[in-house]
Amino acid sequence: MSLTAALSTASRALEVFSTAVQVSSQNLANANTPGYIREELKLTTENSFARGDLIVGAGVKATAVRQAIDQFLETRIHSTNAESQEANARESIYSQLEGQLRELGDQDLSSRFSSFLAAINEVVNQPEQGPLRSNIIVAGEQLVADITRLRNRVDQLRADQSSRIDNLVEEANNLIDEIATLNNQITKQESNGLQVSEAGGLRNRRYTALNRLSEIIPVQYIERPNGNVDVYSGSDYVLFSGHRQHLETVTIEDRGVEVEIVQLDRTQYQLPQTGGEIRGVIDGRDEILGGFVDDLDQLTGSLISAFNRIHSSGEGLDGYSTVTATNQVNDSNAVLSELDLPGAIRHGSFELKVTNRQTGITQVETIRIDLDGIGSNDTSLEDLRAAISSAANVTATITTTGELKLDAGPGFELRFANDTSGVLAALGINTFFTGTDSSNIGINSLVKGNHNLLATGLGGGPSDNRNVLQLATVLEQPLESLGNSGIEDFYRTVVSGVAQGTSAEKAKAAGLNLFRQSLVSQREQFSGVSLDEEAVRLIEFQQAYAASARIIRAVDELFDVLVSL
Amino acid sequence: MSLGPILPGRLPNSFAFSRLNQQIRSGQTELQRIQDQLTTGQQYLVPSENPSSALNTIVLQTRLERQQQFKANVQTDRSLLGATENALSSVSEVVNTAKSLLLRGVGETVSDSEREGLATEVGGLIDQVLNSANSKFRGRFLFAGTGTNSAPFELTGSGNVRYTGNSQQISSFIDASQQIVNNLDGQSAFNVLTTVEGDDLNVALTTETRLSQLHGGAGLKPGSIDIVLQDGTTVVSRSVDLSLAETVGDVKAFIEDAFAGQALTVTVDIDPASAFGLQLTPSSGTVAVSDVAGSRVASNLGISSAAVAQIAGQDLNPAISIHSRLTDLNNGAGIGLTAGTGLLIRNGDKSAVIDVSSAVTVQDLFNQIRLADLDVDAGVSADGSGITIVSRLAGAELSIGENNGGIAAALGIRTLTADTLLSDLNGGAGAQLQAGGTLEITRRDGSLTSVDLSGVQTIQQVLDAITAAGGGTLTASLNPIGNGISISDTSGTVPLTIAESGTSLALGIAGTQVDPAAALTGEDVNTRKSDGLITVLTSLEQALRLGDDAALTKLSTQLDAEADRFFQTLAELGVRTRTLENVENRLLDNEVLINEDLSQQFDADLAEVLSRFVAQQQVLQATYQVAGQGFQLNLLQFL
Repeated sequence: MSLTAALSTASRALEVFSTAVQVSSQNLANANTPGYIREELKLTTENSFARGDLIVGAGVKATAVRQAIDQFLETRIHSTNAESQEANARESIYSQLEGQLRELGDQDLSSRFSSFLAAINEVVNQPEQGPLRSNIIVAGEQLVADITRLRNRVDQLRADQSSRIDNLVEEANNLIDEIATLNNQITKQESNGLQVSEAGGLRNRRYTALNRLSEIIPVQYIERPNGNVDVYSGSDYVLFSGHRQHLETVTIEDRGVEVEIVQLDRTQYQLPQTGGEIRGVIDGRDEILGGFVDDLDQLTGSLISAFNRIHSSGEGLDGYSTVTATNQVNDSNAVLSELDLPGAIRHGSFELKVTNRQTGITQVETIRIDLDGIGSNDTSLEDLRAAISSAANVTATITTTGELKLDAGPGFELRFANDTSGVLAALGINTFFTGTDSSNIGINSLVKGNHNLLATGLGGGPSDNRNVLQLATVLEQPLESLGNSGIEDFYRTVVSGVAQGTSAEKAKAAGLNLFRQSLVSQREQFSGVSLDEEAVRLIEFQQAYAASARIIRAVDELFDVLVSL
Repeated sequence: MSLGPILPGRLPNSFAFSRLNQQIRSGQTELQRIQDQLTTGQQYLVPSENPSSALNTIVLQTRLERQQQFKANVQTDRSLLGATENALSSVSEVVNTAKSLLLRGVGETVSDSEREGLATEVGGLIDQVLNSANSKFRGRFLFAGTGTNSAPFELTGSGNVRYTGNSQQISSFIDASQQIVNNLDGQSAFNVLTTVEGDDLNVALTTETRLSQLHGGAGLKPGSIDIVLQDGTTVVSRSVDLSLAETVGDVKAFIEDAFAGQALTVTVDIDPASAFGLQLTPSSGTVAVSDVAGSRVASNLGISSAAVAQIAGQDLNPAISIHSRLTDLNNGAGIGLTAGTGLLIRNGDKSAVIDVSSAVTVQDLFNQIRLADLDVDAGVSADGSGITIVSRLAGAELSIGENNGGIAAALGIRTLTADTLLSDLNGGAGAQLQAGGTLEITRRDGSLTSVDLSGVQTIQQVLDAITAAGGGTLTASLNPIGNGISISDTSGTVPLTIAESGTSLALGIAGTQVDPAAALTGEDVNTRKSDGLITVLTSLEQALRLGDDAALTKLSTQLDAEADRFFQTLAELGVRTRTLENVENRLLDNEVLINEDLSQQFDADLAEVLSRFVAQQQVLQATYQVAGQGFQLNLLQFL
């Protein structure tokens, strides 16, 4: 019966070769499908059988359709994905920050500092010119507006990251669901069909989903014998034998802005500290943008207190008939140095000048601020109020909202000088700037309303420029609050820090992307479809098919011979 | 552009396509970058493309902006100083003209009408000076100090010139750490003010005295001191940080607090013996004070000492401040009775009694003087030792005297005192002690007393000489009201007369007193008067009208001295202008250098960028061509 055997071997071969052509045709059809992993038909020799003394081969057998994939490479791609996406997210945030700074042009903050300084210098040169005095206020307002705008933009940028995080979380959750569903389908399909063959289409989709998930959060996966994958992020699970966790966002407040953090919804486990686009966005938002906000606040706070300290000891062309402090004090009986006010108050004194408008006669009172910590007589706001009130022709009150208010008697006006304690600047009396940091900096409305209150002099007539001369040096003076660098210097350091950070992050991202690219190339090289290769295979199987068909014909002829006997 | 390595093995088409994609993308990115450089002319658009160069660029840009500001400052300063020089150059012509008019007016050969004509010409010169002195430029009265909003010089009804400006300077930055004064105040230019510099008033040390007032206002550096109290077996030692101390009272509080509640304590007081130093007294045993290394506070406070039972500190010589109490002046002796007395100040035509009975501090005194509206101002002297009275009236005579008390003397500002040297009298002309310096006094008993003043040098000696010559009935003293010498005689009732002579005129006591109950009162012969240009010119006009040759001769020297001073001022102004020119040149040079630097750091090199553009274009084109042709190769086509 060997003819029949030969016929059946050949016919099985035909079946196998047409399956092979089908696999090739599947490969060719998916040559351009993203993430497609080329399939291979595994062929083995059919078990031979014994006939008499002979052991005869029984032809070919297709054992499995397998995906050509390198699992180790896949794991490496996943971890590189996480790193490179994190770096990409950070780089994009750095670039956005850098864009907001607009350095190198003439619309940047350092140019604003220069024009503010220029306006001050013009008054130094010609203190008698009223319009030039207004220019200081205008330039000051522009500086304030620019600082505020920069702060708002960075705040906005930080808040905007929430929608990006929302999108990523949603995408990640969909991917997790998809992987879970695919897990089920793959298990079902693979257990139904050929045990050893793989559900290629479903697996492709799962690889694609895992790949994308690994860009969003760092993941490791382990394939179970049943075809399921378990997915972990950091030390916690995302998918584990049928259980799954989603990502969820929690809103917290940071530096005055509502921001989102991301955790796993069942275990409340925070995402790993490194890796993934979400981590990159969060870090970028909190470290890069948040750090910049901190620097900007430090800079602005120092500018406000340094400028006000000088300004509050000077005087303009007009005195105050009434002046209310811009900063509030919660406890008027607390010792001044223990209050939370912008700028430190120390042991010292200031001079209050009460001028009779009609005679021009000025009475100078020294108001002592006792903060030596000796005895229980250290000055509180209430003590200060009483001390000021005890001077002739001036009344001091504390408003219901906790601001010190000074009123000159009728026909009198007030001026201030020689404040060694810093109390005037801290309380916000005779100051130029208001506020404490970049979120609330402003120009004192009294000065804004009357540029004659701009403290340019020290009481020596309309062209006395001694105080504005000092103000002109504020931007360059080393300040303790800025680690002994000047305001402009500090700003340049911040800007160059951003530039260097951006540059370093760019380089890091570029490096990681290149590495990732090379890994992806490797996968492409291993798992991609080569038209030529498939063509060769096609020719090969075509020829083999023809040969097997030829055998059938030969057997047929042999049967004919046999039948016609 | 960098691509990953090609591993040995198969080369699928998708691999080739993705590589081609990368190649084209990076080629296009590079081309876009070059295009950006070409259109902006910058090497980079954001700092991160080249952080170190960008930082340099930002620094250079700031420096450039600063330089441009300095340049603008210099230009403003130059124009202001230029206007000042212009105004003064017309005054220098006046000085020269005045000299020649003066020379023509001296001598017998000039007729009265000619003198009158010369005087009128001088009057014109005064107008010319006032015109220049009130020059306004860019909204600034150039010679007003910092009181620039009104004309600083005005002619008063009595022919004097009042200066309403001040002596303050307006400084301007012409480089990071260089300032220049861009104004010349009226006092520096025209020497208009009349100043009475008071004597040292020896203000006592009090707990309110600020540390910055010590040592004549030099103050002291903050620091710490070590104090050791020792009593047989007990030793308490403390290091006291005085850096927060602002007043002597703070020093007392900090030191006493450091030992509060200890076995041994220390009391800090003002030394009652001297009133100028501190005194440290331990509760028992001894006290030693030394400086912490690197600090000089103990020495500067005059209390550095080895262990003693009590430290009597050295004289700290505090300077006067406007807050000093009048009772603390003169070693704490004060200024005497103030009720019903006062200061009598005469300035030109105006005079007033300044009532100081309500004044507590130096500031109150100053305000009382200002309120009297005498065109007189008062302030603390530059060295902080005493007070200074300044008259704004050029050409007017300033006299400060008593009003039945001793306040002017106690404040050290009486213009004629017992100690006044005769050589200083009459505006420095001195008292010409004629013919051996004899005063001829016709006494009330009709007799004639001759007082020999030869060898006499001070007013006190004059007073003593007169009193000594009078045989007990003749008394000479300083006027209790105002200034000058007053002479009383109780020898009879006929009029008391002092014959007019060079000597008596120079002492201001020539005259007759008929009233037997009253004293013969002289006038202040040590009044102060500015010797500036305007004063000289008004005096010149007057002297020419009067034909006063002696005065003209005196004025000639004054005018020469004033001309010297004036030209000196003009020369100093010239130096400033030259400084500005130098600085401007330096700034211009710097600007060129900075621009050059900036261009190297920041500007794109067009030639280089263009050649890169061409090269990149070719690369991209080649990529396209190779791709276009290479990807046509496919085995399937041959089937």
